[in-house]
Amino acid sequence: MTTYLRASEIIRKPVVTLGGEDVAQVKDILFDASKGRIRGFTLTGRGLLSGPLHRELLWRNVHRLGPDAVMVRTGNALEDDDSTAQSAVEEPGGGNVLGIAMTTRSGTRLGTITDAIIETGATPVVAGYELESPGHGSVLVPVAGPVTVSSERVLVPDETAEHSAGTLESFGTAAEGLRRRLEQDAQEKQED
Amino acid sequence: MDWWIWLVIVVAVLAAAGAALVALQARRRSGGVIAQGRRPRGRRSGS
Amino acid sequence: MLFTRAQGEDVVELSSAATLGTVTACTLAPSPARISGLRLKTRGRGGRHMLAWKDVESFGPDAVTVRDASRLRREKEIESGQQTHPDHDPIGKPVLTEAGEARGTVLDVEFDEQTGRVSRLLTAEEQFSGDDLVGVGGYAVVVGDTSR
Repeated sequence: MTTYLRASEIIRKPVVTLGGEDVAQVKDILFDASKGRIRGFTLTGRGLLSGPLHRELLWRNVHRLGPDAVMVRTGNALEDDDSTAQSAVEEPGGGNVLGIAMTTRSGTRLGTITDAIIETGATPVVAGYELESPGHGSVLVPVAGPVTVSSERVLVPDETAEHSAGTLESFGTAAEGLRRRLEQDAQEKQED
Repeated sequence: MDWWIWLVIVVAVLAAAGAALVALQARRRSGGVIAQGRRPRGRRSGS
Repeated sequence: MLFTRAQGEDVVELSSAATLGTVTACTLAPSPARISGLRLKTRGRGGRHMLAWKDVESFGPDAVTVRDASRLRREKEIESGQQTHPDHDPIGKPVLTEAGEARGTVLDVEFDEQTGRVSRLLTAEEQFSGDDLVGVGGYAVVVGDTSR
């Protein structure tokens, strides 16, 4: 079964060992811009006054990603340096997607990204985004096909706009619809 | 000036400093969804 | 026996028949799930102490007996890695499954007074078998991912 979680539900979740200790808290979710795959998390400390931890949690060290906690086997699962995370934040073409625009390839602005939808499983991916669009309010939009991410916007195929969902429950159907549509279009192009 | 004016000023300054601290801490801890990858142009494989 | 029934029992020194303190809480260790120690409130000995399960002579319905007072250890002297560290007290902690799902709060622990083995962990709505206990830490009680 595919389960979808909002990124905002994962951010600030505790990182808990199987021994029951909360070793950190999720700060950022890092994903691969080209494939959408979740690479891992940057962390903050658990105390009210603690700041960012200079350690990161790679996806391969996550035991399970649940609705109430990110489970790891032991505290050793945290990497000692966050150099990969830091370089990503500073890299051109990367950066936080929350707050940037989603635009179709033909140039229509669909809205501002307020949240990301994570498809959980063995290899979790960013499966879509929640948009705040003028006139339509809040909509969930799946991503598939050629998606390009810059620090200003996420560019998606034009068909994306026709496959949005209102709730997380109906998101799976919308994502499947968009995938089929893009496959169909690709076949038609081949036949031409 | 009346003595209590100073009290009001001190309380106001402390409240402002407290609020600034809370805001700073909230920003330090707030998270995001961060795209990584040197090649921003790419294809997401349909899965 | 339910642990909440044992709370408040006197801890009696066999050599002097004196009361050393009363049972307030316990610590658990997994695989196999068992009580690793008892937390005591002691009178005139400077607060909180810990009694390791192996030093319990017998666990009766009204009192716990111990050979002598030297078996008690101050809680402050117990290092965080040890099984009897207060972090391993399960009562009042949230239950998290291995899959990261919260499943209520531990209210009680059912255990065997002879062996210290834990048979069940009880929350308001559910019970978890002692066999499913994965770990007890400062934040949560972790249990295996048993689907409802």
